[in-house]
Amino acid sequence: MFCLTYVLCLCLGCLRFVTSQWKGGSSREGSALQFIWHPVLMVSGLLVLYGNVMRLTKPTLFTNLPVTCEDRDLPGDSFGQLMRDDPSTIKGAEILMLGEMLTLPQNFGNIFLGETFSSYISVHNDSNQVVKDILVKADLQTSSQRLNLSASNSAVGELKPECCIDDVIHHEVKEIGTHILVCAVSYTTQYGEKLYFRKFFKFQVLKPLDVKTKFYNAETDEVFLEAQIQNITTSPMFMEKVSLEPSMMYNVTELNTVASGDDGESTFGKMSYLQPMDTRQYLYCLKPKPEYAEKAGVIKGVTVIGKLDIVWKTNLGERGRLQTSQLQRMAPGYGDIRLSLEMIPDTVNLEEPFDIICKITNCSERTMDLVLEMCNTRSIHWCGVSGRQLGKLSPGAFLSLPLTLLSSVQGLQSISGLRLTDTFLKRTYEYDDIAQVCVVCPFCFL
Amino acid sequence: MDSGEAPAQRPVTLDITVEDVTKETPDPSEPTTTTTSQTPSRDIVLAQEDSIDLGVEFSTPQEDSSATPSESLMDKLNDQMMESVMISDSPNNSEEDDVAPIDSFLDAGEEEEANAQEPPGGKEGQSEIGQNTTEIKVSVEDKGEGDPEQRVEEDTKEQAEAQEQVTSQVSLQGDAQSPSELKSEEPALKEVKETSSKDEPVPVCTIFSQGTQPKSLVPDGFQPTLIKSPSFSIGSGGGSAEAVTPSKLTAPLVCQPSPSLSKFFTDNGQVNPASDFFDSFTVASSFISVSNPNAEMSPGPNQAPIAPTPERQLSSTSSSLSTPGGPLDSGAPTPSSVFGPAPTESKVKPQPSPPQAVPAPTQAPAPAAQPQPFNQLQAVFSGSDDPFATALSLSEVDRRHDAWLPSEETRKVLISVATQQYNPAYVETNRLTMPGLKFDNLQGDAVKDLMLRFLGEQAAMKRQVLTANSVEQSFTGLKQLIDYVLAVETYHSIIQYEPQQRVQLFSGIGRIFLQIGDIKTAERYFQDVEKACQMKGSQPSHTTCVLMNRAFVYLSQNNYGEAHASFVEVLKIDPKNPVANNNAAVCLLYLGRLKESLGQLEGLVQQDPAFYLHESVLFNLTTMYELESSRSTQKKQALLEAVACREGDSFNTQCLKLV
Repeated sequence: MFCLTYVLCLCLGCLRFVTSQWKGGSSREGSALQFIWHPVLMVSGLLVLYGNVMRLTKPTLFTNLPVTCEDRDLPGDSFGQLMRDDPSTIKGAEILMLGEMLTLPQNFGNIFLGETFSSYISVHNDSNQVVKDILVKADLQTSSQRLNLSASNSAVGELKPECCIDDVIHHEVKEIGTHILVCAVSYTTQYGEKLYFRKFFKFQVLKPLDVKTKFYNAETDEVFLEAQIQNITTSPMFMEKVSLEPSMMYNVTELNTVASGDDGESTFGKMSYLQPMDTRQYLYCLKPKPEYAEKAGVIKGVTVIGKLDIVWKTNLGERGRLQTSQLQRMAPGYGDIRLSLEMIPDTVNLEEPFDIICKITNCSERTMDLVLEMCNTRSIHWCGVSGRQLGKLSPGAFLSLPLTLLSSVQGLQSISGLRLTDTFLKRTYEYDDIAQVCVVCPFCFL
Repeated sequence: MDSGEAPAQRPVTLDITVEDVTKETPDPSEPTTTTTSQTPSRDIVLAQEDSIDLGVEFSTPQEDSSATPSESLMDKLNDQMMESVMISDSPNNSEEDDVAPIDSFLDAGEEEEANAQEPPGGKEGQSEIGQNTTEIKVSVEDKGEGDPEQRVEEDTKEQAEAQEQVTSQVSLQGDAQSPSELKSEEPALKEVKETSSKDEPVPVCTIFSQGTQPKSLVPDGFQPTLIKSPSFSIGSGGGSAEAVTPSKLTAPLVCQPSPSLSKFFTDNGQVNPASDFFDSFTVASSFISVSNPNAEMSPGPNQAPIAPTPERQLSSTSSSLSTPGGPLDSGAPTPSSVFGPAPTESKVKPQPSPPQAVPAPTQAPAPAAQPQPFNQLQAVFSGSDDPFATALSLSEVDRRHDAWLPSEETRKVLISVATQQYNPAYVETNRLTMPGLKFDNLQGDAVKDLMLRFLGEQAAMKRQVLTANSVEQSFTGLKQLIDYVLAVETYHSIIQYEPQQRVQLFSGIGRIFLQIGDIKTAERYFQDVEKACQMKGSQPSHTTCVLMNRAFVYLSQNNYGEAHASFVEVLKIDPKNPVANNNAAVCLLYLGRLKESLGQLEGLVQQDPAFYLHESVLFNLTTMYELESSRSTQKKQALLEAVACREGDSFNTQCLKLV
């Protein structure tokens, strides 16, 4: 007996409801009902219409258990013969377990958010009289709304004995929690009595995925998004698509393929599916679009990054799709003034001047009048005049500043010692460890 | 910061609460002094961390009970945490936290959190290895109560084990618990917990109360709902929709302190089969079953190796429980809750890692039933203090106890084999014991049972089958395809050796992918099939194969109409094809044509019962009967009659759905 199966019992003179709740997967319950009620009703000739509902998940492929032995073993070829006779095996390859025979779903199974709930609704005339004006309505009651799922809302003129009304309903599940499928049947009997009965089927919609995200801010204006997706269902899941739909400010690059090949092999290798409880990490790089890039330095507060769109498939293409809501991130704070490097060589020669270009952005709300001081450190020596005026910088504006310096020590050296002073507020901002540069001795190779 | 989007969107929207945990090293927003220092570093900075919380995903233990999203977020002003994006809805998600934390990113903060989640008793023990030193003492005390010498050594060994466990535990927590780790970690956790709880000189009542309250409600009490499909009866609680790790799952099931527990302890304490425990350390587990009489008594094969912990546990606590007010009362209730989940867990982890999981309740009958060997052992033990020597002597004694005496015949054979030189040993076949099958329970005839029930005794009398008695040997079939990838690789290697089966094998691989849901790859394989077929020229069997594959692809695209058409096309070529017949009928049902579908299947079964009285067909047929009308039982009984005169007792009666 099916999980969603219920006996819609219905009597001529009076309405009788078997009011017991449907319990997921409990087949005994259903058949028990049938067993108890139906003989009684049928004997008394009261039963007219029989309604039943069955959830239509994808059919499954029948697996047979091949039993084989060597020809010289005792049973000889008899096992092989058995398998060849078995209609469910594949001719020519009998020992393949996975046959081609389709079997109907044997239990209600789980239904997950984003999947499609399909159901067969059958109303059958069990009596020997003609029933008229049958109207079958299927509504789905969720915690927030009630949806009408019936394909047609027009009444069927008449239903002869042993005939049935069929309806297959589909609904993409968009809410988590308890759902109740309400089937209502109204009809007129031979004798002109208008009758009506309803039946409720309750099921829970579960959460299929656990998604966690984390943002990493690069020193450049790029943002990296890491998304962890865990399969919290009980069956393997094929992740057909996990993509980030960026907000209008960003362009997105997916970093989930290994770039070596032509099509780019997935970072997950051959494992195209996700076992129950397994987690995958997806990485995305978001770059602000050029038109927004200028402002990127001064973006503050919460910005919308985009949303994840996830499509998965399970058995025989049973499909599910979920989207996260807009992912938001807090823009990193740069303080009043942001100093970033636009250009810096990675390797320089010892005691040889080299150039860097600094970008100074005013992230504050006020205009600044800046003075640049350059303090030498043990290894870094700045060239040029310290304490020079940079002029006024209005909010959001930036200026690029070429600077020259040299290092007196070999090895990886940290560029430090820049001081910016805002003469309006008499505040000094110190910039140390701005970047590293590798200092080599050009003569050492000789 | 709630950014829950309107649910009007087509794809379901995960509701996300975003909490911005801003924790920046320099806080330039308030430059109160004239000199603010700013040190932007060049590499990728984890300057700040957002945490998205759908519902209450990431809650810290404190708000387990009354978790509102905001609260939980407040609690986790933790820089390194991962955000969790979750479907909000279920209000009690908070517990999920245990599983959820992600891991490589978690830092020490996480550890604290995890610690905090443990019930009070477990807190201290978790990260302190030092704790174990006290352990010895406790166990020594235990000695006094029951079985002195053995205990010591058990404990010392256990000690070592436990220590390892604890260490690993700590490290695990340190760098974080990944979901997969979690599973294995769980028992360890418990172990540690339990150790500590025992060690602590905790006031009796505190621990007691801790034990009494169902452990299922303690922090990691995950609802057991998700794993099993028929969870719906659990009702409205949003929690039922929650994710659960399998290991956690077991916890609530068994955790309730059973009323008989104390009784169990009393019975048990004095006559603990230390040997049981002991052997599991000293000897390989397979050996136990031979040498140790007690092992046979233990309820399941898995349990022998895992016995030790409960023993220690039990013995240390048992006496105190039986005489309330005893000095060591403290630990008593905790083991019950801690070990509760064990029976299930032990199935999951059958490896003999002793302190992990313990079937406390099931353990009980064994010691009670067999006090005898124990006394023996005790005698052996009393002399020595060296654990290893004791171990050796113990197993020696056991071996003697169970010594196998070969019969005269066997002895001759053995001697001849032993004395034979250079030649490969040859023993006459009839002298060899052949591997056989043993039936633990009587094999009935399920078909007959059903007939008795539904068709009456008269009908049932007609049923005659061969019994299993004549069968002496059997061969196991192939194992279930556990891993899809492995299966596919296997098929690939088979194709190399069996090129003539290429078509079938490629189709098989394709179907495997269809089963996973990877339709694109499946289609690629099906294309390979078509190529292979073209190369070989058209054989009818290959054409069928191609058509079938096409039908399956249509099916996976939800295009039942086309799928049906393809199956029908197969039937044009091969009208007797049972698979195509059945599959076409199945497609009809999905198209909403129940009567036609039923008619087709019924027709098949009536025309050629030998062929179509197959499990899969009957499953489909009975399913449709149930859907169709109230008279399904009669129709199923008719099928039963048909089955009764054709099928053997291996027939799977479930497919008739009569019971």
